[in-house]
Amino acid sequence: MMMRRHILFFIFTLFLIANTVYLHRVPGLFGDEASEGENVYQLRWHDRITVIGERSYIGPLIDYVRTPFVLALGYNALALRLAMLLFSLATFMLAAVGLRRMFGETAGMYALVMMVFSPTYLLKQRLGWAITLFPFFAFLLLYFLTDKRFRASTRAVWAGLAAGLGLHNYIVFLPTIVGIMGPAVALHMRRPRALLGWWLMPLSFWAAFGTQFAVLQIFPEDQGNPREVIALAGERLAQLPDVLPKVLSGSVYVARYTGVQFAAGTTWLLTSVLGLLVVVALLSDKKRAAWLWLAGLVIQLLFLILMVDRFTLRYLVVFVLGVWALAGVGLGMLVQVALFRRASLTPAFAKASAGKPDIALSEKPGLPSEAHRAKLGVSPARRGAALLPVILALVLMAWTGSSVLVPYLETGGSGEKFNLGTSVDSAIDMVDIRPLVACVREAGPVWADNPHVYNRLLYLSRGDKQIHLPLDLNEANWIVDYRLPGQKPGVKCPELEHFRLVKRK
Amino acid sequence: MSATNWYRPTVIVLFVLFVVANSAWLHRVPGLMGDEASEGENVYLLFDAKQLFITGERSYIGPFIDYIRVPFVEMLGYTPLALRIVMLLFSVATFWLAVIICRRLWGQEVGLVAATAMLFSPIYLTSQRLGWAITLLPFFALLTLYLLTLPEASRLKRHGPLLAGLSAGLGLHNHAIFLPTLAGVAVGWVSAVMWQRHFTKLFAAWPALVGLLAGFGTQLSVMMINRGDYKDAILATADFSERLAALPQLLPLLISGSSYAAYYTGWELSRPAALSIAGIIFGLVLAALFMPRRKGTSLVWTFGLVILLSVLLYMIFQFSLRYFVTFGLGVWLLGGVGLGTLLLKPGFNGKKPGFFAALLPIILAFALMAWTGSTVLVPYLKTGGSTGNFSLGNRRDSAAALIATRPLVECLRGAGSVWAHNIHIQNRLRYLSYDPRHELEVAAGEEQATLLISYRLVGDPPADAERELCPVLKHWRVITVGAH
Repeated sequence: MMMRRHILFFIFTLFLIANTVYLHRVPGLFGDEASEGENVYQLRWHDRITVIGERSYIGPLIDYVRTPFVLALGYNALALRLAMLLFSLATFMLAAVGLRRMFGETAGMYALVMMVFSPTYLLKQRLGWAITLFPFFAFLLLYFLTDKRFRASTRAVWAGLAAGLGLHNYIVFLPTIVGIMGPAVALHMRRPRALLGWWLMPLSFWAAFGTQFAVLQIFPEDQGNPREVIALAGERLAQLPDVLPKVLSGSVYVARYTGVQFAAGTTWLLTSVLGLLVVVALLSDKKRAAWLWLAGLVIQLLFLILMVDRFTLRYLVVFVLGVWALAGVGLGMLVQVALFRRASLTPAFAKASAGKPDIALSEKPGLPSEAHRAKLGVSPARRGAALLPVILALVLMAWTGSSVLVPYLETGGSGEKFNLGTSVDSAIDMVDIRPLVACVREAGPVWADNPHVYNRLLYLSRGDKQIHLPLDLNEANWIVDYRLPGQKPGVKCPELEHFRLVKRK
Repeated sequence: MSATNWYRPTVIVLFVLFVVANSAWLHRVPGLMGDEASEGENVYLLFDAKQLFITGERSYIGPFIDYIRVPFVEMLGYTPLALRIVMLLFSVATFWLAVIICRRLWGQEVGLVAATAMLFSPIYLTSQRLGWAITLLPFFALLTLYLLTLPEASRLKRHGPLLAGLSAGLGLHNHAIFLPTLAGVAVGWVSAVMWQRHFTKLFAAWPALVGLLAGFGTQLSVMMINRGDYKDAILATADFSERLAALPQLLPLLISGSSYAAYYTGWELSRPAALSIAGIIFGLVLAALFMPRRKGTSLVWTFGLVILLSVLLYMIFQFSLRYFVTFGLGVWLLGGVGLGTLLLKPGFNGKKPGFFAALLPIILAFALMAWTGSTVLVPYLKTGGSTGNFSLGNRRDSAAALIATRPLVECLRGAGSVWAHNIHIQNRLRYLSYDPRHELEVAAGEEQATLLISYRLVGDPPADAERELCPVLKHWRVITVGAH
């Protein structure tokens, strides 16, 4: 137990480092972050409480949460991301507990490490926008669903609040709720009376989501046409074989920063390894929980395909993290088997097992259970093996560091594009904006037609009076836009790699 | 009849009387109100809506009651009865909630007298039959209290605060003017808990906030987004001190039920009569506060009423009868406590209450029914109401809102397209026109109308047979266009 706590502490420290390093500028402030950050400015200068957030489907709760950070740190990327960092730390704790409850100490630990040190987590969960909170709310919901210390009705109230707040935060959390609750309900179908104990969950869910539901009904204009979206779900389903390896391997998440995806071979190798580990998890003595987890992921993915009009990286984060966690379970079980087999060859094992029935005969076919090994007095967490999760975390950190952080620090990002299914995405949104800010400070009034560029400038101008964004385009001297690969530099600050400033015509 | 087995038969008798009193002539006494009709029209709009309807009659009146009305309107058509049957069902629930709560708070004997005094008061019998959302305020108040005072043995006890919060939230959703009542209930409950030094109960009540949001969240959003229809009320909070100063003028009229009766008949009680009745009620309230039995409960109840009244005076922009219903009922209930305490004191007649405890509520119910029947129902049936004014302390209100509408509907049946400048008349016409049995056609505008409808006010010139379609109508003028 003490050993586990120490290991967890080490891992948490690594997690903290990985999620705070260069938080203020890697990646550069991007347009959607800035747009949400602008809400804080609006909140401060309106004389009333608002129930309308960034969109009709994104609630204002996170804007209120961000406010003290922006007040303390100013209108910059760090203020927005620090709020998310706190939620990330909470996610770590919740995931550590939740995964341990579901998969046991060892497998749970590996699942945690694989998930929170995956490239997807390290790259997406530092961004300061509302959708970053999905894993937090997912694990918060799981935490309450699996907390056996309280009665079902009490857990139901908290679980409902978690689900409702998650949905309030962003409507695309719905597939995650379905993915978690579907298996949870199915688990209780053999004892329907147990389900009755959860009657308060809809109530607390509505307490958290009711206000946002009203906003969704009153302002449907920005929600698109659900019927059209659902009608094209088949097309999106057909793209999955192309999309899944890219997201699961982390290739496109890396490309979002650097513009460069993994080689096809690497992508497939990583995906295959993950797949194999998942299969191990499904065959292990944690298979019940593993199959439930997998069922939840499949349900979540299918619902997501129904809801969203195209594949984008942010929507797939929860799914990818869930797969990595499951792969971690498989890895944990493999490590346990390897340790057990090795231990079984030692004199200590022979002595401990003397006189006891042969395990292989007394157990069901499959991998040996932790309980049996403990009975024999063979501890699965020998000192060296206990450090394996820490080593795994370091390896994953090093991988992401070398494939993303180092290149990004050298180049400041990229304007290259990459495919995800039929949609084309670009790394340009994540480029370092510090050179742009330095240039714009000396440029006088500027304007941007591109909303992502405009939003950044607007947000930054709230705290930086040297950035002058007039109310009218005709008052601007310069127009700021992206400088895509192959484009000529701008007239002002031609050294800018990813932006160009041209004279307003 | 022994002390132990008198209770249930008495309650059943009272229930029967209650149903009789609240359903008698429900379809036409009073006539369809403009505000009832306006809310009833929401049902029509619900059928037309292409998405879930979350906006009710106003931003501060939620759509919950509109959805509940739907099956009744479908069954009974666009009639006053369809709207009022809904309220009758809630009223029946209110009866049981009141009886249970009063028993919990003041015991069987005194509690039943208290409940009777409230449920058969002229305020209740006149205002609680109207088919508009604000009628539900007593129901939600009592439901919230019921959930806050659950006995330890109750299976719902653990979730009492959460469900009480839900009830409170739904009450606010239904009509934002529930807030003063909720404040009174909440402060009263907190006071009671602190009085008993059950401080852990206070902390354990936090789920009430969850329930409150669950019930009120959507409507809160609607109110935050659509502030236009209550911004005047916000501005009027500045006149709180004026309303406070005018309260002594209003209170006797309210508590005596004089204004509630006048709302139907146009006739107020004389000032001495109103003062006398109010004085009796006040005296009974004092008895409840100073007699030794359950004095603490009565004090807390009074405190809650004071809070209710204070918040109400702050929130409203003018005196209006509907806003004071829960306050008035609360006072009558406390008066009933005083009456019960006085008359049912052990040893008063040398015996345990027993038979007298059974008889007193029934006598009281009959007496109050007879009083309201003779001062309101009988005159109304004779006259069809009145378009006269009555006093509300610092202003006068009109009884025209409740005048009989059946004669008007009969007059207009198949007579042509109608129009009214007065929004309350227009709302009635529109609502009734949705029912084909009425053969009522409402014009799109005044220019297209062949008949113009208005009130025949007290002091208006006599009916003009040449210009009017139905000159015999006492309270309506139906002018033929062209003759206008």
